Amino acid sequence: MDKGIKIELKNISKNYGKTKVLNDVNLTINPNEFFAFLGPSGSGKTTTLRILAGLEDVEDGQILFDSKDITHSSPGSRDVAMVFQSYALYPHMSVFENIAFPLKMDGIKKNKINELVTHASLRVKIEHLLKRKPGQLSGGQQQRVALARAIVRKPKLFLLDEPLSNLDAKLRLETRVELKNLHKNLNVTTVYVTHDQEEAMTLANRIGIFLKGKLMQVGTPKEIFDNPLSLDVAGFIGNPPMNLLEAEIKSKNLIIEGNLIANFKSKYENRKNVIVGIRPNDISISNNGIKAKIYLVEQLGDSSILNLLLKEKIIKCKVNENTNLQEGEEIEISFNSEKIYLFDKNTGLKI
Amino acid sequence: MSFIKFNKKNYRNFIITFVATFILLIWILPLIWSVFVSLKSEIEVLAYPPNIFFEPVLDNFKAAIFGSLSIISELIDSFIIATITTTLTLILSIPAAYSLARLNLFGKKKIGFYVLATQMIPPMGLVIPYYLILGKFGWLDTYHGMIIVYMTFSLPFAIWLMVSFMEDIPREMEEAAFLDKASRIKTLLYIIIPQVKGGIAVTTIFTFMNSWNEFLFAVQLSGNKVRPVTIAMYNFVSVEQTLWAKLCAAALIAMVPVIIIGLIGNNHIVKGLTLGAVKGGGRK
Repeated sequence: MDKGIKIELKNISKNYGKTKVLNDVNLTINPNEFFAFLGPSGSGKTTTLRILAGLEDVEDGQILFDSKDITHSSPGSRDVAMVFQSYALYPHMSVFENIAFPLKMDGIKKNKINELVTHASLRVKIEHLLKRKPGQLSGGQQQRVALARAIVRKPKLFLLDEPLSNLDAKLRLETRVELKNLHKNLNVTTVYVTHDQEEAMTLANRIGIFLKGKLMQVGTPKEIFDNPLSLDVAGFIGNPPMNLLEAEIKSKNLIIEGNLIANFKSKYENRKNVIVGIRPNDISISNNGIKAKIYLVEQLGDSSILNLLLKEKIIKCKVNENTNLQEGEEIEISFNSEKIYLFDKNTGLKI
Repeated sequence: MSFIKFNKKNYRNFIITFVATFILLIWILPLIWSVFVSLKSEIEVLAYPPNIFFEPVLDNFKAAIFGSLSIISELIDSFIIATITTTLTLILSIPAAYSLARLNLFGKKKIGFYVLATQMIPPMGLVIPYYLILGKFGWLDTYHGMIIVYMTFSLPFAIWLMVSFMEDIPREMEEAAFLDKASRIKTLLYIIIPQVKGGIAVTTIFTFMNSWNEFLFAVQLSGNKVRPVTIAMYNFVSVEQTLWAKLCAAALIAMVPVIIIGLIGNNHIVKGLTLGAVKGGGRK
């Protein structure tokens, strides 16, 4: 098997006119890694992917493929394959011609092209569609054609720009599994852009969180979920995301809205302007906790999310069963003090 | 058809059909008149009141093709001029339109505007300058002179039309081609051109028709050695008499190539016209 390449981004910055879309991005992606860029729209993740592909110039910084500087080389010379969000299939060519196009441009002989196209189409199970035009295919089939076109010439780097976002929910889950398998079999460095946390968490070896043009945090899905390093990441990851509440620490006690939440054994000094982060799962209904009023109940089938009013703040609490609690009821809740995250309100960083 | 049930939709269709027929009649009436006249003898044409029933003759067509006033050599001249003009226009306008649609050229917007602005000058204002310029070069009454003059009209139009077609192609399509290791030229050849076939067809038809039908510049800038077919119509007009029947026959013959091209490109031309209409100009 070919070995995928190692990618390094060094101090990458990019502007569109006066708008800064990428601000000093530094990142290393290991050979054969499945790396996901996760972030809301406009966060710069797709721009970064396009910079890797060579479709966008950078204002500043360096891109290295296997330690070789390719910052200013053309897209064609980088030996990367990309699956676009819109698939970008050539509408006037048949499926076969679409898949064969990169091989043809590479100057490969006809027999070999036939063999490779057949091989790639078998791999993504579209061998029966080769004679059709893209317009005659369903969204899922088009997506497979785009995948086949990308894998057919065994690129060094595989770029996927929200490839599942145009599929319906069921197909998305199926294709997700197939993508994972495909990556396992191909053994090629893969960069995957998505705004869907679940997709990023399940597919990727490591995730990079993009927010407002900055790469906020890089880590394995578990690291990012368990240890968000900043308020922004904490407020983004998790479904629903963490509750973030203003608090203060007074003589080792954590106080929110006048309520004692937790008691620390040591290490924290008295301070104000603290933000407490707690995941909805780590808040539970108890008998001797803080009083809160139920504002709204969201039933999810196997669990429910309670929207609670704590004085004027809304906090979300996830309970693992369908509850009979009604809106307007008063309940008592307690926070799992081991799962509390503390952030500095001014810097936004973890304390 | 629309007469069976008079619900709202049928009613609408009826009105549309009626109006369309009316407009078509206005357009087609001179044509029908020409057909009738071309089948009469010269004496019959001048009969007053005109005879509705007459014995049709093909003498006029024979005269227009084989007679002393034959328009065959003019047809050939027109064909040479129109074909070369169309071919050169396509060869030049496709890459030009592509660069205006896609590349970050310096002063792109201004170039786009000036390309279009040339279309705003009334042709009458150009006849004398063109006459002087062609005269200086010694290109009056030559094929290349006429071709260049016609291209000054067809190129801006063709570029403007092709730009609107090319802007319709998603950028990602090209980016995918670049990543597939296609050069810009190959991308243009394999990805862009096949997708603007409709635009190319429309451009071909318009350019060919315009240079085939052009009269003003043909009569001023050529007419002796190079004689486009529109000028040939003057063969039948003299101080003493106008040979109406033969003139009509010649005019009908001159229409044939345009009609053939129109029929071939019918589908494309309708698509092209409506596309332009919806996009409201194409250029941003």
